[in-house]
Amino acid sequence: MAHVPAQYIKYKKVDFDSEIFSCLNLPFYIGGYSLGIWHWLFKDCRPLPLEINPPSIGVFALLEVIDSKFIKDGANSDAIDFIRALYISYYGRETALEVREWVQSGGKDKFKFEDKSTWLPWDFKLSLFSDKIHAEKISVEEIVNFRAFLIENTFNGYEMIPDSGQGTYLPYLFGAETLASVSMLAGKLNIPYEDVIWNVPLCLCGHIAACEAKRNGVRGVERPKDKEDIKLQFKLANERESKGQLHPWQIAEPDNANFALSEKQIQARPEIKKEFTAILKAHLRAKRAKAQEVKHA
Amino acid sequence: MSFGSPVGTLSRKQSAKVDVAKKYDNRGVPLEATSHGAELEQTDEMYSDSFVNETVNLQSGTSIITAQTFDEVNTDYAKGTKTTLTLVTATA
Repeated sequence: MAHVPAQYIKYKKVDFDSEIFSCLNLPFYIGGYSLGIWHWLFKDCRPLPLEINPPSIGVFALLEVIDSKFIKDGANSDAIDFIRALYISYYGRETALEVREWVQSGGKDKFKFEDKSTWLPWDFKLSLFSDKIHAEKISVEEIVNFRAFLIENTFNGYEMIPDSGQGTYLPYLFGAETLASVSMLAGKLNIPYEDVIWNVPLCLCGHIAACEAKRNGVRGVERPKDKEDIKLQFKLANERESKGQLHPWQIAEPDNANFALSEKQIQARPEIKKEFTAILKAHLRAKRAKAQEVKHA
Repeated sequence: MSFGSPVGTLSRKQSAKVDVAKKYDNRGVPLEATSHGAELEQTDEMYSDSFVNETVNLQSGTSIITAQTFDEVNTDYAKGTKTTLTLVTATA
């Protein structure tokens, strides 16, 4: 059994700048729209890039309804998964009815890329959209950046709220429960609930929820810790315990009773007690000297 | 450069307390006070891979574990707090 004090674990890396830009509802640019005749006349002219707003809860609800592989498993997703995610992110509310029709007509199971007879109207529309924006010119780097734009900073605010651990059954992450809880912001922001669903960045909604939780006295609302680092620190702490070595926090604060020697450390190397006492004595001496210095200053 | 606090800023709850004995004159006016029994209660937040309730053990000495919490959720590593009351000796 090992304990690792929270302050010895790194925080999860967050791109704070991008997070601010998302909260400010600044768009992401990708690909381009055909300029029609101008594009035909001046083939080298750059098509207008698509302006994608930071995703709202409505966009994520649609992406979940289509079971977007681009979001769930980006590395194993294909071109059509990317186009679907791009189309939904670009059109948002305007494509909701098409998505409903596609899902209710069994588009998720029917679609086979090589067999056009399985395509539904929305699939043909996506194909046209893909031609129009010159999807073939979009680089892999742009696709990776687009995916990061959709998911990387969007949930930072929600991640700050500690998990209540209730283990409730939640088959859809962006289902009706989440839509309802995000829509509750409408009253706070004094805007129609449709606006919250489609126009307010989910990133900002998350931070508002975190602020509310803090204001309501929920403890531990803070930036999350890096899970990989927790795993690493546990491994290192268990290794030190079985070797009978002192932890860095025991060396830094030997007078903190919360960091006392564990039974496992003592059993592994009984001499550790002597070593720890020597460090504690030196620490207390230094503390006393510092206090005297302050007194005489 | 951002305006926020640097990474690693410690967030910890400490509460120091001391008992005071007062000496009064015959009219009940306090003349002098003496402090004794200084104690420090400190709470640290810790990640733990298992939970052992140490508060139930019969404890004695200069440090006593007075409270422990342990939160296990299915989406994160288990986290808890440990609060220890320590009898403090003067440093100056």
